[in-house]
Amino acid sequence: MTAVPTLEIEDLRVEFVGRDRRLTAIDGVSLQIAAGEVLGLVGESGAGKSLTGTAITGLLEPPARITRGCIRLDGRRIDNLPDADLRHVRGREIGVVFQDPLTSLNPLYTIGRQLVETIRTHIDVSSAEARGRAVHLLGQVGLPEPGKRFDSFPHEFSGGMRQRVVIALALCANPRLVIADEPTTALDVSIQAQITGLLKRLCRERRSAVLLITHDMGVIAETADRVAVMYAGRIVEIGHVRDVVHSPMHPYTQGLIASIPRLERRTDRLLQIRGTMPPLGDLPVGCAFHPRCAQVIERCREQAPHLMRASGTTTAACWLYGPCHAEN
Amino acid sequence: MLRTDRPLLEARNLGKYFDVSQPWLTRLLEREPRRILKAVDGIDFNIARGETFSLVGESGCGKTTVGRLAVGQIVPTFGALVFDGVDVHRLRQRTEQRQFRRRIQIIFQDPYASLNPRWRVRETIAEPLRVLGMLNGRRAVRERVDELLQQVGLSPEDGTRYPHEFSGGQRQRISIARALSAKPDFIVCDEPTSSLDVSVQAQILNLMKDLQRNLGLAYLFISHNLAVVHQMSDRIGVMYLGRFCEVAAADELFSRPRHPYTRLLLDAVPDPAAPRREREPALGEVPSPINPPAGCPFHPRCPFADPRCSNEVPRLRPDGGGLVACHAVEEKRLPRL
Repeated sequence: MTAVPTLEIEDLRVEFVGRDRRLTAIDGVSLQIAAGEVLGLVGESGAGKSLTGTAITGLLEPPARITRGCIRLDGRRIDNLPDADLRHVRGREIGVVFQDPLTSLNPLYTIGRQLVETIRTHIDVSSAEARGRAVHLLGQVGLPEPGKRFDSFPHEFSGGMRQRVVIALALCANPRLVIADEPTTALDVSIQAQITGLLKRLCRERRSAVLLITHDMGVIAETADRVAVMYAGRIVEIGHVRDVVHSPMHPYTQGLIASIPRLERRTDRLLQIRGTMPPLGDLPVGCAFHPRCAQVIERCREQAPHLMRASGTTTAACWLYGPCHAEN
Repeated sequence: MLRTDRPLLEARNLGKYFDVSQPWLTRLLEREPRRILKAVDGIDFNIARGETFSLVGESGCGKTTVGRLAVGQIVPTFGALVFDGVDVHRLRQRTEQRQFRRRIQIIFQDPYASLNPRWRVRETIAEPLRVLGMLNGRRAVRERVDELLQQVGLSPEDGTRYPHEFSGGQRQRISIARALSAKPDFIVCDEPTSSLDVSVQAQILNLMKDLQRNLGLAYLFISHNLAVVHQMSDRIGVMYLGRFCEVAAADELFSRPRHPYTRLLLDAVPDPAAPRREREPALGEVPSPINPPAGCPFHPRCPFADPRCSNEVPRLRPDGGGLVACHAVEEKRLPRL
């Protein structure tokens, strides 16, 4: 890769710093997203995927804070910016779509007013011009009769339509990066495909990079170009979506994919990973997954693995792909 | 008990309407009519002993209302629910009601909300036993609770802990233990794994299948997740705006979906193994159940709708091995899949 990636995270660590102890919630996370690319970040609750998104937007609340590493947007560091500059970056250069559209919209303002306000905060245009842009944008996200619905309140829309409005809000300043945190989880399945399709198309047209955070491997498979799998605060596997979904290399990813019930075939029993993810304060020594892993080797109990080339495009944090083991 | 071939649970033209009108004075002043939400609008199904019948559909289709009707939590507007030969909503005598409550139990979606945070797990699981007066003596209750905890994959020591000390999956195990404590033969499962992570979901679904096999339970399984429903069900009813559009055996439904709505749903599920990236996204959204479209409720979104569909409500008719409510299927206008 020669071009500067739109988003670059290097060795990020986020800790909850308390008076008498520190909990490491994210450790050693590095990733890059190119312009126009969709990177899926997948994992189970508590894996640290949403926290990664929050760290990028600079919205971490104390006691959580970044204690190592850096985040760059178009090559410029954004993790150490003063608040005022950060506010400009957020919204203007980073758009965010959250799970619940009702909480991201102000119930007391019409959607038109919210859009115009957001546009005028970030771009220097007249209010008439901002209105024109807003109506155009609402049309682009597939809201029927955008001119007429401009003065409607959020409660007058269905969940799917609200999420379209939120996407319009996230995109209204033409951001370089869009962070979508479980954008379809609150929606019905027939609406989900509409929303992910829309997000993907609009971001590709605008050459925005997308960080798609979700627990749903199906959504990732259909939307993302590359995928990073998180477990207990670390990326355990990262690669092209097709490779990771069809031939996962890390035992956790293998278990995760095998445990998803499938439409096309029914099994007597689903494969399951035994146990649950350990809490942050009680991470095992060595690889965090080793107590649940069926392929555990001696080294896993002693030393935490870093990402290693596992196959074609995929790297995995697993000693099974370590130099010594591979020779055996 | 007399064993017969009759189904364990039978819904006969079951309906539930909710009055969601404005208050009387507002209606008078604003000249608004009454507004009736037809949550369930005349459905029939039956469930045999040891069988899993699933209700699947999107938000607002009425699946949860059916579950609440089945456990007797709400009273139907019309129609009847017959459990083991007795009309559930016409139980007059306390002993009969008690029998019914013992034999039919429910598991909810959110194990955080459905367990009392101030009770030890042991007390939660023992409560149905206590309320129904099933076991006498502390020892007997304690032994039964220990047995139940082990049955759902927890240890007897877990009984002394509080719900907040458990993960979501473990809490759902506790809910299951509570449901099992009264030895029911029928359990309504309302989105039991929707708030769980997939690896934990697999554990719970496997547990539920094992319990069904060992205890001969019948399940009414309610879910929006088609893949989960396929994994769990013997037969499936697809609901849309309070009515069935298709009822069929699970394998039949998934290999040969007939109703256009079933096809839409199956097509919309993102499948990790076979991503259909450039597919046509489904049309439109579910209309409001307060003002459902005339004729077939699905016709505004249906690619095969014709004038008959917008005028005449289709009835469920046998087609293949199952039942389908669709004019296009009846007239053989639908393209083969």
